[in-house]
Amino acid sequence: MRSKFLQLAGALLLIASPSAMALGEAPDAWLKEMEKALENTSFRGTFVYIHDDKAETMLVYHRAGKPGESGPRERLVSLNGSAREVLRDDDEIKCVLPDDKMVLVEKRHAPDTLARGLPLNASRYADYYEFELLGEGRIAGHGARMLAIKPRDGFRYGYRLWLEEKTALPLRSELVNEAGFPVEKMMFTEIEIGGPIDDAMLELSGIGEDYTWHVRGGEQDADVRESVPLAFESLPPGYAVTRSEVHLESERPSWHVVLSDGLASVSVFAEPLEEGKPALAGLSRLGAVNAFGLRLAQHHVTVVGEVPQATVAAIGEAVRYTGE
Amino acid sequence: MNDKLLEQVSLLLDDELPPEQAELLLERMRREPELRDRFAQYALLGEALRGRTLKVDLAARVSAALDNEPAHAVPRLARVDRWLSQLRPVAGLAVAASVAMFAVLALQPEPTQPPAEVVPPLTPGSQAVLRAQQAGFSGVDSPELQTQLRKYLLNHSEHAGTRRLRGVMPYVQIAAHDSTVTEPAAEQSERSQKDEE
Repeated sequence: MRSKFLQLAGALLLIASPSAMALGEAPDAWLKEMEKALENTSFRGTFVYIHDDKAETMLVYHRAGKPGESGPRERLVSLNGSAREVLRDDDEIKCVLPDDKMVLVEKRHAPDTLARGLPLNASRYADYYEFELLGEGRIAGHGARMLAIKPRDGFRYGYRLWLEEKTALPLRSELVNEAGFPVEKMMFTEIEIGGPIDDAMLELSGIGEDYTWHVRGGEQDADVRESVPLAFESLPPGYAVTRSEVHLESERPSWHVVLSDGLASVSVFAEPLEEGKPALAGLSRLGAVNAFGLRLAQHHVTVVGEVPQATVAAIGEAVRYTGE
Repeated sequence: MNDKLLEQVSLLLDDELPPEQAELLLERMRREPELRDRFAQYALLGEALRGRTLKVDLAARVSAALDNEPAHAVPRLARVDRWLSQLRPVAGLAVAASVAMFAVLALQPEPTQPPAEVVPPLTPGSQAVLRAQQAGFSGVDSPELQTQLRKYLLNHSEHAGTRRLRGVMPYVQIAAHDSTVTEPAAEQSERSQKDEE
């Protein structure tokens, strides 16, 4: 668990000497700096998000965690179409979907340090990814360095990142499929780094009174690996279970297992079969996210992740029910 | 793989390779696991991910042709094969060979549903053709299931530590998905014509 002191010290360091950063030619240094920057640097800006043949413009407010907060706070507002919004703060993520008159809330467990995983480390992933610093560029008026992360097989996507030259904040990122095509792109068109983010910028707007709220998670959830009766017979290379939890909010428990190769991650959800409740059978996709659903014992299993189809399918196929 | 071979593979996937050449190509794949593996990757990634659905009868044909050869199957593909064997009753396909899996990957789980979204490569000058895009997760008609999948995605985004390489929240997909955008009908029909070409 990263200490608050270090986070704060990191933030102060960035504020004090943003131009003193000399990250040199080691991809790993850039990767680590980027991770720090996402925790410790505030920014606001507009970015374009491109997936499939669509381009969406979004506004983002990102405030570094203050002392006493568990991490950065962030608000995302869609500037096209209906005003979809996502807000992530200390306790939960709220997602407002005006088209569906719906608010999705995912509550977080108390100190959720596990979700952040281990610090990024290029050498740890060297078996599955190749890291390479490429040329320099300019994004949203800022100088940027390009970092390419190439998968070594077809079970994970690659990344192309343009990192701001002083802070290493990603100003542009592309998720690249196994055939080398970008499946998703994000690029800032303007960004203000380091400025203050008022509380008012981190508040949701436009939740109608007639909206349906779907709230999930929170204190009633346990996080006990032993009690999750799911096992994996064989997994795509490099993937291992990093987190398992039981959801106890309904009469019968459901489970959530996270697998990761260090960079990519995949969630496996298993819920008791319920008559009349639709469940995913086979493959589906949303942007770069692939999903695969199947029936297993008296449960329905759904595999979701920003990974290739082959990966969600292989993981879904590998799930075994070890309960009674 | 050389260009000639790639071309043959492409024709095979479109069911346009003359039978005798198809037989030779399949024969070669039986002998060369490496070729099959590369073919698998090429086809899976290049074709299925771009959404070009394969013809079902081709899947059956290829399957029949390769039915006797699983001895030297590439382990990685074998896993997907086992998955496929589970899918068989669902998709109503007699698929047994690695090669045929692309057909199923490119097909919708429920054959009666509209075709899957196409993932066009975002390269300049791309000639990719698109089918009508439906909102949200592809191939999912039920609003209830859409909501369930979004909840899963939100949950995944929050707990799986996926945010780190993106710069913005991974749930950008949820917010980005604008269901109010509909494509003009004329454009759609033009696109589907192109698609058929």
